[in-house]
Amino acid sequence: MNCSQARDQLPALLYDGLAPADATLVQTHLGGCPVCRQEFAESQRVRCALNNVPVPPVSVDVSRVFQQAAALQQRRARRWRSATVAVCGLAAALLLVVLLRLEFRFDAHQLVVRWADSPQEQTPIPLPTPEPTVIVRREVVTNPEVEEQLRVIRDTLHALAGSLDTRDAQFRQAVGQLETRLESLRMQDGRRWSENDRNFAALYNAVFFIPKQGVKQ
Amino acid sequence: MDPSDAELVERWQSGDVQAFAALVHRWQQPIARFLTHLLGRPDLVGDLCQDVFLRAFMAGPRYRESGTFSAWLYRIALNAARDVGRRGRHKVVSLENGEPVSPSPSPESLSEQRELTRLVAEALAELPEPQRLVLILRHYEGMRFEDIARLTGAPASTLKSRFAAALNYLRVRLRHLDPAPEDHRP
Repeated sequence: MNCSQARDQLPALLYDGLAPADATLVQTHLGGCPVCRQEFAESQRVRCALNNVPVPPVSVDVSRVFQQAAALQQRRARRWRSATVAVCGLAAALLLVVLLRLEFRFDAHQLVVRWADSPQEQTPIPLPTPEPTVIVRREVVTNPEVEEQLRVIRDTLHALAGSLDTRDAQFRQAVGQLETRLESLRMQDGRRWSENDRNFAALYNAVFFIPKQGVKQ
Repeated sequence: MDPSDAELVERWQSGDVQAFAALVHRWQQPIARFLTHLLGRPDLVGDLCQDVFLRAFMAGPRYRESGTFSAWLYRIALNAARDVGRRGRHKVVSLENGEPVSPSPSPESLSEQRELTRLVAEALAELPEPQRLVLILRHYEGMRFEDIARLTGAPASTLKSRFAAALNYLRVRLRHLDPAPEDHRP
């Protein structure tokens, strides 16, 4: 065994990790190699030094562990409840959107919400087709008897119209005369009243007023 | 005869909280030792141990007897220590009022031991975390490399290399130490 092989085995030898045969080989090499023996001695000192590091005594408070565990479980339960409520709310909102076929969009800086089916595109109302023009050609059928009757009727109508005009004129004239007569009567009546007033005033003065020279009776 | 870890865990999972208390009592000091050497912060060990056993209690329903309870517990302690390390760089705090290992020490040896303690703690803290971890688990906890491999997820051969490298570093670092008269390995 050479030094390199022996040095590789020193940690295992130090910690009793070698098979007895291998340990014997390494021990034999150490017996004849001062360098490896020195290194093994230094490793032993390190092992002892490691044991000198003190460890603070620890006493775990088990009841506090239980209390902290209970508090943690309560917090987790609350978080699960909140998460469940949030998920259910989201699912309900999504279901509502799907059922109502909600549509959200922004249009002219406004939030537009539409539900139900989109208005179907209305089919344009067809313009009424113009009826084909029917040209009616009037044919005047001449019939003498009918012509005669029509002429008689026309004349009669003219005569009646003339008569009505005449009567209307006469009526207006009579009305005018009556208005004139009424106006004159009104004037006469007015004059009479004025005369009467003067007569009464003169009579009143004659009866009740005595001239200044005499005594009033 | 004391019940084994597996029996206590089975009773605990059945609802016997006293079984959990027994496990705490059995493993609190080894976990404290592990955390002390891993972090180099004896002032944090008390609270960290409390946290480790709280995590173990919360994770108890999920524990399955596939490995050993101790490996599972050390795994929890390792994660807790790494969380502390992530929260802030730790610097080694020597336990100035720590109990001396040798019985009835003289004042000179007491100060020597304290100096030795400080040097060893500093040297341990200088090791990279993977090397420090395997050294602590192999030296202080007496775990086999196969058990450490299950705990850390690294192959046993890699762990042996790390262990040898850690031991070599400490050997060089503490070369000036006087040879100890006795082996005070607990």
